[in-house]
Amino acid sequence: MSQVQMHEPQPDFIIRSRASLEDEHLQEALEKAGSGFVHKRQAAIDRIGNFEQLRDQAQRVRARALKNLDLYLLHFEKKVTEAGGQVHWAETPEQMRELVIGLCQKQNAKTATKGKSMVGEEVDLNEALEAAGVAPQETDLGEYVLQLAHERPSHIVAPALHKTKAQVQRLFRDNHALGERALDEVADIVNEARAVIRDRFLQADVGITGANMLIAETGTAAIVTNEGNGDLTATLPRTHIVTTSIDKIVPTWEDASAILRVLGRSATGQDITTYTSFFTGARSDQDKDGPEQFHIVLLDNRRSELLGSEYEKMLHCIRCGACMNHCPVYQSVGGHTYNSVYPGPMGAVLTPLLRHEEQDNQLPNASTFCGRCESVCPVRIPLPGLMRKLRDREQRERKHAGMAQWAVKLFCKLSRHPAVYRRLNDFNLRLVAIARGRKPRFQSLPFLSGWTRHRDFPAPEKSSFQSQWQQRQKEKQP
Amino acid sequence: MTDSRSRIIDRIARSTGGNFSTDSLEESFKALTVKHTLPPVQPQMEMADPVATFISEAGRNGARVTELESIAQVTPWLRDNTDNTSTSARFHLSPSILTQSLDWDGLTTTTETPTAAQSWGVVQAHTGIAETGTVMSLSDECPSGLLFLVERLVIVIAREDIVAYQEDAWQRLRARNILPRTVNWITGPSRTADIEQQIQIGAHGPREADYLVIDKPR
Repeated sequence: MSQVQMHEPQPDFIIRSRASLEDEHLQEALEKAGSGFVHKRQAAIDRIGNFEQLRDQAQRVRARALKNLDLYLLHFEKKVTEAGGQVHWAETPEQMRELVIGLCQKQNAKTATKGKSMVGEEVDLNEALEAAGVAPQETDLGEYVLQLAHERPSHIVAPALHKTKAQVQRLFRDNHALGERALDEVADIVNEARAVIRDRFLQADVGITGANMLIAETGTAAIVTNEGNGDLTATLPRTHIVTTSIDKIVPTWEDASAILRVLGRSATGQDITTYTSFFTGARSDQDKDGPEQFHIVLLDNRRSELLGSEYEKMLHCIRCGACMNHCPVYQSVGGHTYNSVYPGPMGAVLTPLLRHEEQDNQLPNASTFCGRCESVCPVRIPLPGLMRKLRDREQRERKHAGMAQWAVKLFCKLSRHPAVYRRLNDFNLRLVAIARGRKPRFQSLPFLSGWTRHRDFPAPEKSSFQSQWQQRQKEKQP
Repeated sequence: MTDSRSRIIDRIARSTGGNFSTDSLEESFKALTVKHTLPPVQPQMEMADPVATFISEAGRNGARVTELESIAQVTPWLRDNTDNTSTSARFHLSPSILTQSLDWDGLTTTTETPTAAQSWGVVQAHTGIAETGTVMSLSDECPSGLLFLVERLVIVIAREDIVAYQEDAWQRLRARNILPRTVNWITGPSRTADIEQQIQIGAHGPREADYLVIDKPR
């Protein structure tokens, strides 16, 4: 099977960042999204008195789930089977694509409605379905917009965050037979999508959703949505396929509650999303509706290798997106710049661990280590710490030392000889003082154009702290 | 793909130790989850009167809540509330509502799949959860699709079916001994913020959600 690539992005994060910083539409969209998520999250937390305890509990549940993951997965599988469903296991993205396509073809499916699934994105499911003659129909408004635009999500919760209203209007004008229908207000856009997608829900042969959680106790897949699209996707077609990954397990329904209580609050600042739906197996004789077939396809894709490793905590992630909403790097360059379905701080850790591509080594470096991601993570993943480990690993594995490494080595040597260091530093500062003249800031500097292209560099003092100290001590003496 | 399955499980077992027999999955599962159950941590909020909290939380999350004395008042309420909108409204009833002997005179009722623009759903919830103003519906009592396909959803909930926290709802679910294919939680009308993060009510599901809290269900 061929893996269809939508476009071949620039392999260098820094070059992509530059393009993103100069992309007016993207900057406008980021500006508008801006601090909305941050404020809503804070307000939701302030409404209850014990969010920190809820975080602790969610963290405990995630750790507990991973501690006996094999038992929980097998119990989950047993319960799914007892409820008339089937569990399939995929080690690689390729296997997952083959499994899903096989299930669709068995049903002679021509169309598949889709709820949002980041695992589906991780394995490039849409392209594979299309190539196999099954038309994937995204139903989440953001995902639908991106399908029209032939683009990838740029955020794990708000996939079309990078699109402005004007861009969506243009996409709809180009793709819908609008006639007299208006498209001025957000409500018009939503209504237009609702009308177009409604028929697809009713016609689709197969419905494919992701899962926010898998409950081992009863073999239940849970999804949270606000639009109601995932729920219709899971309920109306004859076959419901869930594409998800092995780490989504929680042991019991009470454990699911512990996750739900931090998920909505952290993601969109909602105490709970409008819809939370729990699917167990295929419809029985007692059920008033539901699919006749229920399949869960579990993806590993190197997750099992992270268990027990120093990166295990990354598997605690519940995909709320709070880390990217609070990340100054993500907020400046947007999600596409990460060239991965998982952007922002969680993506900067997860992408190199799952994908193992040379270019991914740059991602853990795309951080200022300000620490906001860790401070807002509902399950307290030490994201900067994990990024630091990945940076360290990259340095150790690197065969050729770059200029930055030589500079660090030189600095290490010099700092062990304070007298030499001080003299060199004083000399440097004198040079800088001459170059600076009366200007308080530099507008350009050799080797630092990456900084000075976008902002001025503050000029240092004319002499070092130690020199100034000595000077003042001398002046004080009578 | 059975090989994939055993390879994945083997890799996981390298970290977990895999100390259980696949012949006694249920016993091993119970031993882990019953003995070592974490005491629940619930959000700190006013819960002296769960029904009052349910009503205020549901309202905050966009549902319109009306308290009625008895189930017989549901249809008069529907009549009062359709006057202003349209007389061509069709009411899609869940089986549990259908079996109540209500006076539907003058209202067009149906059990078909809702497709028309003037569709109302009238359903009875299994449980209400005060914590978030959420109602729980079960697919062996009410078709799940009905909850999402109508323009306006009216959910009847008996005061006695309202519990404080999520854990209480799970207890009620376990007490049934039968887990339906779909358990739906609904909190207000459907919404999206996918266009420039502006909240727009009425995405793929109902544009309006009414909760009718009934004092005496029978």
